[in-house]
Amino acid sequence: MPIENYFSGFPLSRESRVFKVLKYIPHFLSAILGIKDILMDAKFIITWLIPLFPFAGWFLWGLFGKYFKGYSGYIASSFVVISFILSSVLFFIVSYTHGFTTTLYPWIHAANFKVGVSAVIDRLSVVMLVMVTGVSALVHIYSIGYMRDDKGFARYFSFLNLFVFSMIMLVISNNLLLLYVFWEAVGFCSYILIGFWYEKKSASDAGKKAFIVNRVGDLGFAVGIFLLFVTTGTLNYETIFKMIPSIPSITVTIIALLLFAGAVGKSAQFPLHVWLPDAMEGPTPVSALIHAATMVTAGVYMIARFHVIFSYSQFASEVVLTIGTFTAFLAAFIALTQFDIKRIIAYSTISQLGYMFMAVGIGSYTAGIFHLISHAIFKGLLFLTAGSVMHGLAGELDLRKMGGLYSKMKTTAISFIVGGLALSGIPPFSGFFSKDAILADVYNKGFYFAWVIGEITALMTAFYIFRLIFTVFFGESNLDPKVHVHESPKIMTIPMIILASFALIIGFLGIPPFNNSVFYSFLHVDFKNSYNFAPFVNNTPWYILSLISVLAGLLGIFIAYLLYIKKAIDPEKIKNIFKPIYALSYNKVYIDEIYNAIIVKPTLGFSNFLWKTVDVLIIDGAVNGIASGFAFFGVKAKRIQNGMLMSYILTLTIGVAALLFYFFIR
Amino acid sequence: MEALFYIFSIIAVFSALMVISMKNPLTSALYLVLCFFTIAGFYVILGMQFLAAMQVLVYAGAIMVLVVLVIMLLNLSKIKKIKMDLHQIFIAGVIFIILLAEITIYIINGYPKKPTGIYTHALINKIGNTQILGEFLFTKYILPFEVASVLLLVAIIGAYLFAKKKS
Amino acid sequence: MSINGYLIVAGIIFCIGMLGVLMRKNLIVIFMSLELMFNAANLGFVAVSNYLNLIDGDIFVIFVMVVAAAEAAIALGIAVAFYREKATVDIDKANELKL
Repeated sequence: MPIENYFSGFPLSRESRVFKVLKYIPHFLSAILGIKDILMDAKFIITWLIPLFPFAGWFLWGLFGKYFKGYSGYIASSFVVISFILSSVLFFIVSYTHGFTTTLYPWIHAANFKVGVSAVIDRLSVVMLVMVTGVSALVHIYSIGYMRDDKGFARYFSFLNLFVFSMIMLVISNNLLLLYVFWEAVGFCSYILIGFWYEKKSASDAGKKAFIVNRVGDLGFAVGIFLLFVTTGTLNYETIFKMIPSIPSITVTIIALLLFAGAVGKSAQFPLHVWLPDAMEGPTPVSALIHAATMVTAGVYMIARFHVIFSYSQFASEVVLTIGTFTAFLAAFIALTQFDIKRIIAYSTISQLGYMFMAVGIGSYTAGIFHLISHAIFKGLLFLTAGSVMHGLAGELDLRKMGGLYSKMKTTAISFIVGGLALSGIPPFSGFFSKDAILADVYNKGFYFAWVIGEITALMTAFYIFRLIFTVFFGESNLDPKVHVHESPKIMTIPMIILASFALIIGFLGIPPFNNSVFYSFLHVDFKNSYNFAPFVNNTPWYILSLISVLAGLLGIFIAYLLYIKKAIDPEKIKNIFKPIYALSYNKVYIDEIYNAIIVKPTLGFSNFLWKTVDVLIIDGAVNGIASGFAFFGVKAKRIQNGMLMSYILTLTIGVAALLFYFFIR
Repeated sequence: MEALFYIFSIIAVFSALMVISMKNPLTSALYLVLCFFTIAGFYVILGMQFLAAMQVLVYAGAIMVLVVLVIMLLNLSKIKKIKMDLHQIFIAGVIFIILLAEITIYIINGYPKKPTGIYTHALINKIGNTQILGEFLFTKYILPFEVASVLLLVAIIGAYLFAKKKS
Repeated sequence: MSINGYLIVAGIIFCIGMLGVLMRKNLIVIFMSLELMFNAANLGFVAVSNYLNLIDGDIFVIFVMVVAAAEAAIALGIAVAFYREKATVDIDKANELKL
């Protein structure tokens, strides 16, 4: 940026006094330090301070964690809180002005290929920034209590800070190379945090599974980036988006599908969803932060960010819609019969991510992002409360061994119920507004089948989450009497209360419903470049559609009430009636088994073949054969070197005779 | 002269054969002295009387005395005879025949080179071969001459070291 | 009287010397065979030098004699040392040249 731009006034609304003060900070800095180069835009400073704090945290706890002992949690949390405050400042700056791009430093400049460590700060990224840093800050604070007695306390906060840094960079990066780097970095953090308790074999296995399954999607993502680069010759978002309309549609479709493969892996959609339930082996705050609120939504964010590419390929968008719808249904179906509370919530996450993909698949990007935000809050809340339950029950996860906890841990229970109501889409909780926005758009854009599936999924969602709530918090206690049930400390409950209140109020950003809402009009600016491939075909009023959704949710809750509180119907009976379906759901549709049979086993067999036949026999055999051949000839040739003077003279003489013979015949 | 050459040739080849075929090394040594004398005779025929004198003095005199001395020192004629290996003799004979045939064919078929030097037989006889050799040795070949003296010194020290009894 | 006669005599003596080196096992006899080969070479030098009207060949003979004298001193020293070590002069007992 040219130096005069630093002085050229602060591009904020003139009325805002706070920013008038901020405007002079660079001037003060220059006056104090007398160095013009340090004089920078306030936007620049704020933007790059946001990732700097978690990065510094990672560095500090990673290297000097043992000197900080318990303080590292508090300092790490305050770092993230500072990031959150700065993000909020940035949010207001962008709200009052327009988006901008800022470059920290040029990274790779080779001929026409230019990639910088630069950030694109528009409304989409500030919304994501505020969400990411906000949830991260609360989870950090919660973790201080949750991880109090863990011997890897500093290590935990180091990784958590690294994750927050990577996620911030992923959200603000303005080119695909940087995006891919941090896309992989969050995957790495996920791997390392799932396997945080690495002594436990199931945890390290789950980490590996998450990493390997993600590789499948990331391969597609990487190839998509290559194809995009070959086609457009650049990796910069803006340039790419400008060129997209002039690229043949088949190429755009292939690129979009390849990018979507990455999103499928990262966001745990249908063919690659198997890692997310296993990822629950990690600490619960990690599940709340990475596997509910932030990282798994990166796929949705990525599609929203590349809305131009996806909107120009109707086929790819329909694939997104199909996968999203199917995943939403499948995951909710599996969640019906599980007994592990964290796994139920994990399947619920997959299901809700399916809703988001439905939204972005029909071009309702704002609805998708809105559900992303509200889901991040209520699902983070659900995980934190589940962690609180675990904390109170000394790590118990099986809901058959719980019950009647409401009286013993009221704050947790109420928070959990708030999260459950939000998930079920009961007004006035946030889930109602965000999920309805999606389902209404799906209906009004004419995708009736997807809408029906979505409503059925909503019913199942309400059922399974209230099955969980009723079994855990109400009914008779099946607790192990030795366990001393206790409410969690304040440092854990306060973040839960904050999240619960946000789950209650954030939905009101969604009124008035549909395309007049506050959130829509705020975020819609960023999606104006997209091609409107799915226009509205109906104009059904929102209250009719909402009524159906709410009825579906209430019906689900009512069924759960009948089964688990009233005991009007014995669940065992229903289980026996629908035995095959129950078994299908209980065994997670046998997807793990199918993958084992058709992918893992053949791969293992082939690898064994490569190892035992190709490598050991052929390659090692060739190398060893050459070596032993030389050894054999060496043994034979050793006889020449027998130390006998006579034989040396003999050889010498034969050589002389041969040489003479050679001269003679020459 | 030619008759002399043939006589010398026969004696030389005969004595050489005797050198390698005698069982007693002392007899071999005496035949070797005879061979050296015939070669000195060749030098005389070729007009190099100085070399002939050197041959008699250095080879037939000094070196052979040394050899005979060693034979007596080691008392070789009394220690048990070393048996010869028939197999080895056969190989050696084959190589001998091949090499001899090669050398002979090589010499006979070698195309002759024209004489290039100025030191004809008459000139050497006129100046005297000793003087000519001396001039060459102390002018053109002065450096090899000096190096040869160093070599002799080294050989003396080496021989002393080898033959010295280990303390 | 051509040069070939001298050269052939020299060649025969050389080959006989080599035969002795290859055939005999007595260190002293081998040494004497080597002396035969030296002398054959010397004879060749002198004959060729005479034929080409040069002196350099004769000078070489002197140097060969010097080297032969040095070699005789060393070789006989070795023979004495070898005999002292092995109580024999059989060349087949000299088999310690291998590593």
